[in-house]
Amino acid sequence: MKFKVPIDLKERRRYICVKHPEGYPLLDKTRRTLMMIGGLKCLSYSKISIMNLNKAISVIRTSESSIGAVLTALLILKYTECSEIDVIGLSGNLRKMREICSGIKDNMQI
Amino acid sequence: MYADLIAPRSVDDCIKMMERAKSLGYGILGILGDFKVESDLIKTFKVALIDGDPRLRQKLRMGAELILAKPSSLEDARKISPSVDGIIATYDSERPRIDYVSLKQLKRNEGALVIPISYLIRRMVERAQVMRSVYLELKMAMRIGVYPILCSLASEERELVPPRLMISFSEFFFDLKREESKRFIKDFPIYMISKERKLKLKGRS
Repeated sequence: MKFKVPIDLKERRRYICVKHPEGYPLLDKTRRTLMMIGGLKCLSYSKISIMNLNKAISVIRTSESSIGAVLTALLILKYTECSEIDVIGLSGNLRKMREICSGIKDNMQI
Repeated sequence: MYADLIAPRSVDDCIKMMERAKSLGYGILGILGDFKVESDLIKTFKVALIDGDPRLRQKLRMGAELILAKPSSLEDARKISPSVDGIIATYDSERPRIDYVSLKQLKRNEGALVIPISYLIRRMVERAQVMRSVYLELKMAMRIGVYPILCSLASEERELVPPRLMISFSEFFFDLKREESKRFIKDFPIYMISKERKLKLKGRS
């Protein structure tokens, strides 16, 4: 019997660290923007999840094929809804991403 | 070294934006407007925008390294294009205002097609069709050999974005390779103010 690996797990993961205002509904807004640009490109980009490291820093997890769409969605959000959004870092390694974020958190506390 | 064009409202804004641009990884900044700001942080050059009268170009040439124009119609674009260094893409209309003829004229001038991302995105959210006109103009420009330049044209410090976001935007929307879209914010703007271009244009009006 063959075991089929789902397509999602075959793709490499990408993590995007985002700084945003406290309490900003980043997941909802990003999903809505992805739907909008998906409509423009006749494609679908829905596979994202978000980890909140603290109230103002989140990590978006996505696949390698959707990374361009997610970054574009963040750019659109920055120019149209919330100019405080900043993309701090991007990596394929969650541990590295956590390190980057903890460095930013320390700077914010200082 | 990445480059960007900005349009600050005041000298204070300009200084803040220069610091922010440096921290984001830009090496060269084109400043639109009459601001006399000198800084060791980042290399800057002056950019001017002419309304429509090509005779103004000679006056502006003395102070600005890059002269841009924003045509209001196809006829206007044909009149302006032989005498400017760059034309701003049609980010606010569903129909292109720059055609093959004006881009050919612009190429004789070693000119550029400037795509202001902040304006384009704001318009795109209201009316998605504007992307089509910019896309068509970009494809024509690339075929003819006019240099496409992607810039933020930010007027506030927080409107500046990291280069990687601009690259992914053009890569995603204009179906380009990463290396191609990188050249839009790296090689082409630097070429526009380079000695090579000046030498190429030597002897022309």
